[in-house]
Amino acid sequence: MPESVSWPRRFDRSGVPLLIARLVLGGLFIYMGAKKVQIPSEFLKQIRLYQFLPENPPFFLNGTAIVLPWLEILCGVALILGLWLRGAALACAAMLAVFTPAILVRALNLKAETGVSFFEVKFDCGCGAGVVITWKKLIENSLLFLLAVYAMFSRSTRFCLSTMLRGQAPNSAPSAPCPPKEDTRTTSLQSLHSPTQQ
Amino acid sequence: MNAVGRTVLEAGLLVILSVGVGFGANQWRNTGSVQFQKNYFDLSISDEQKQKLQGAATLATAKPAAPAAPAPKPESPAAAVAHKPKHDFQSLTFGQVAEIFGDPETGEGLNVFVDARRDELFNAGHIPNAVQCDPYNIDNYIETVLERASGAAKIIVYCGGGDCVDSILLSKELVMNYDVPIEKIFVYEGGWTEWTTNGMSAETGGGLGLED
Repeated sequence: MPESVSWPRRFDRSGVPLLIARLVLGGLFIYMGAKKVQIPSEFLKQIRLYQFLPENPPFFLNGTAIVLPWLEILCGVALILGLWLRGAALACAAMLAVFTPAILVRALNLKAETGVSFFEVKFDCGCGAGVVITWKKLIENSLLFLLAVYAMFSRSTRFCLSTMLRGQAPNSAPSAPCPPKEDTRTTSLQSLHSPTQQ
Repeated sequence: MNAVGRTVLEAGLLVILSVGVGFGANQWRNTGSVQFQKNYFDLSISDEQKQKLQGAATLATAKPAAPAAPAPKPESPAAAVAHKPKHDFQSLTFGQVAEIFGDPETGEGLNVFVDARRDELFNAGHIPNAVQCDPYNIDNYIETVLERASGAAKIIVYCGGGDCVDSILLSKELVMNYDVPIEKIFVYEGGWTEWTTNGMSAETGGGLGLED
């Protein structure tokens, strides 16, 4: 008797939720990176305002201004194409894990200095979207972070260029044989790169 | 290699690729590149540098720089609180700048306003008759600035105001690399934000349109 598969796993195996996550996350990262790449000096000025990196030596700030926008673009492209997918998702999650608390800290500092309500704080976060309302940006970033984490741990490899290049069948075909019984109490990345698909 | 190692490797490869593409693109672009080794925010002039400047004797006997005018209370929380580094230039308050703007000598070119913002912002609005000089693309603007500045008694440099330090960066460039006498340079720290908040006149257009 075929093992019953939970509906979230079946839904994930369809590849559709991962594809949506990839398109949203990848598209946004490409857009934001492209905005920053247009005028690197503006991005440099914005990241300085966070006072997160030392101004001396200048390599930290300047290197970040030069490299980070391209990292966003390349991760976005990798996500959309489904190439180095999980590495790109990890990089996006890491960037968001740094950006989001930095925005929060800066917003709290602005709130303390200007005396306005937290929900009224807005500033150019350097994200590429201009002046943003902080609390909305924090929610947006948190959702993007969840998408990135999902992309890292999803078991689906459908609609991925890497799968096509390897000549493998996508993992979520309905007629695929049942996977060997596994301990479902632990979920790990171990099986994601397994050559045998579920 | 296990899946975790592979994921980390993929992320690392993306970072390495980004470094290559980023630095390559930075070298290749005509305008707006970031010079990797330049400290854009070291805006003070050392004593040794001051000794070498023209007018060092004048600087030594000059009155202490006027304290920077406090930033006006922002109408909107979007106005950032100033994080201006220390600098060695004379600062002007809004009142002083407005007085200079209305001075007939300004119309004769004896007082020159220099806008240190990039094209998009300059074109959207600037102090009437100000000359643009983006310090991150200074080569494209410096000839015009020096031409206007050569006959000027006062050169008032401004940028956006608030957290913007481009006016100070430009002032240092003019003094250190283009031999503009430091006593001629005045920094209007309130900048464009304060100018417009006080309902002063504005001019649009006139930028070189060099942005990518």
